[in-house]
Amino acid sequence: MKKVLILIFLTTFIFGSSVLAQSDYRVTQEFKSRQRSFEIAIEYAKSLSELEKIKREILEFKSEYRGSKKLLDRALYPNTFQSSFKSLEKKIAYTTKKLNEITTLHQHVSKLESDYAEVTKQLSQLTKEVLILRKSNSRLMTQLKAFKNNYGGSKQKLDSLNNLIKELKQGISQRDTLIKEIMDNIFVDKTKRIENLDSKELKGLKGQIQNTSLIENIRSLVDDNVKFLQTNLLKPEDFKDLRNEFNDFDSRWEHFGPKLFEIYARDESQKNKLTEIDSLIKGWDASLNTAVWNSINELFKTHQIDLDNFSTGDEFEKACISFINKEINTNDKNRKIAREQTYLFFAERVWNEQIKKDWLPLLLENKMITKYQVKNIDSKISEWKTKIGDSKSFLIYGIIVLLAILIIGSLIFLNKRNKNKIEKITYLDTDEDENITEENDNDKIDLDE
Amino acid sequence: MKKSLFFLVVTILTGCASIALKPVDFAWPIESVLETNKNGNIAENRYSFSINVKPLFFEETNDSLHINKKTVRIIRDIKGYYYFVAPGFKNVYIFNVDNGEMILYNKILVSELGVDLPAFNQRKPYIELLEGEKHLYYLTPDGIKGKD
Repeated sequence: MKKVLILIFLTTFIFGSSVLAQSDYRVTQEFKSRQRSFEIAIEYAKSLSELEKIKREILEFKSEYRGSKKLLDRALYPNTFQSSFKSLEKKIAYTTKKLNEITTLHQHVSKLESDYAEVTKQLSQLTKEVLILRKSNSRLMTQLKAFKNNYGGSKQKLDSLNNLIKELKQGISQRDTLIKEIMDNIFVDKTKRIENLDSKELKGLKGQIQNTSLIENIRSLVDDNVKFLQTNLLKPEDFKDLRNEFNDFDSRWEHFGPKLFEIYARDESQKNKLTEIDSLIKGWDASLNTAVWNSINELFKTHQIDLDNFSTGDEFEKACISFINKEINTNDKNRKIAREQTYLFFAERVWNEQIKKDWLPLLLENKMITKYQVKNIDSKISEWKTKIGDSKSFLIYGIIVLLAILIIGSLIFLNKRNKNKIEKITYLDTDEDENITEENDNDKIDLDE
Repeated sequence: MKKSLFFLVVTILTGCASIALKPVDFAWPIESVLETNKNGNIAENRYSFSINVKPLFFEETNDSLHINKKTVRIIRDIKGYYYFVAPGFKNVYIFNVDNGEMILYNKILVSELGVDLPAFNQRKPYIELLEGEKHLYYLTPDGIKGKD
């Protein structure tokens, strides 16, 4: 029995050893091949979970080949069994880092995509609002023109006009803000240069510009502001707001204008539109000053004072001095009162009460007039005052004396009238008393009887 | 005079004696599997040697023309002998290096029909010959272990 067992054992061992024999070269090649497969798998891993799975497989691989460590240490020269796994670990660490970066970038991209979608949505909304405001402003402008042609001097009409101007100003300002928001939204990444955009990004940008009718909106913005200025019905505070509006838009245009020119470098039609806008903006700047002078001229006109045309501080000074000189040199005695009235309107109502009080700070601030020019006009007005001073004082004294006589006369008349009334009342009271006494006496007699 | 002559002979003999460095292990950990080019040359980068095996194929197959892209398996044993085999060979060839040449030391018949998937393993002091995954023999430069 023992002999049989030994025979079986030996047969199995011999057979087994012949079956299990393996080429060292093959073991090494298989190890290398699997190591390479892992390297490729690590390199192409798309997620951290995939990488975790590979890590587990590598551990299995390591334990599988642990028995061949001695062989592999020699066969893999200059590498070893351990260094092969170290190399795999390094690759896993590198890929993990890379995948983390990719995940972060992916999140960033997702956020950018959602931001882009949000911006597109906002742009669409803003475009709709701009369209509504454009219509409303256009209606208000038409109303304002019609009103200006018909308005007289009644307080009610003036209030309506002022309200209309206020409403239109607000409308234009709101629309301008929306257009500026659109510009900001389109060029979200303001630091990115247009030349660095790829064709897809450029196409997207052009699409947004087209969908929001940005160029047309900018054109209408500038145009409406200029038209509003041309109404010549604006107040100094309006000009301050409009000047700020211009400065704000101009600084934006300085930034976005060249970008738009770059985007449409090869589109002649759009380029022409942009060039037109560029010159309109320059015109807008000039219109601001012209509108101020026109509004000032309008003030004189409402007081029937016709000055020569002026659109600069020099011209204004010359027009005023020329007008005053003409007035001083006119010796028409029949128009004496009219001349005095002209002085009163020019010097008091317009120059002192309105221009110097309301407009001069704006003119000086924007360097449209100098203090020296103001002084010149002031001294010319003083000269004018001196010239008509005597007659004016006679007139004033005359009026004062006349008024005094009228007041005294009225007082005397009233006093006399009051006195007469009192006397009448006293007389009537006495009569009544006498009648009552008589009636009482009669009653007494009747009772006695 | 006799003494002087004795010293001279001892000195000459001592000067001519070769130096032997021992122990030496020439064994390669694994066989090298190399492919011939059209001229019958093979090159081993790890051990930095190249050799022309055309005479080997001619000896085995009597054909030295169809030599391109033939696989040759080589291993070196602990004593420094090189063992050569290739698929289809009936013999394993054992070479020794001598004065810049590989000189055939022994030719061992391992299969009458030839081995299709031969492979060597280093099993000191032997070289194991396999046929695929099947163990065939343990070889020494002088023959097959157990058949000596």
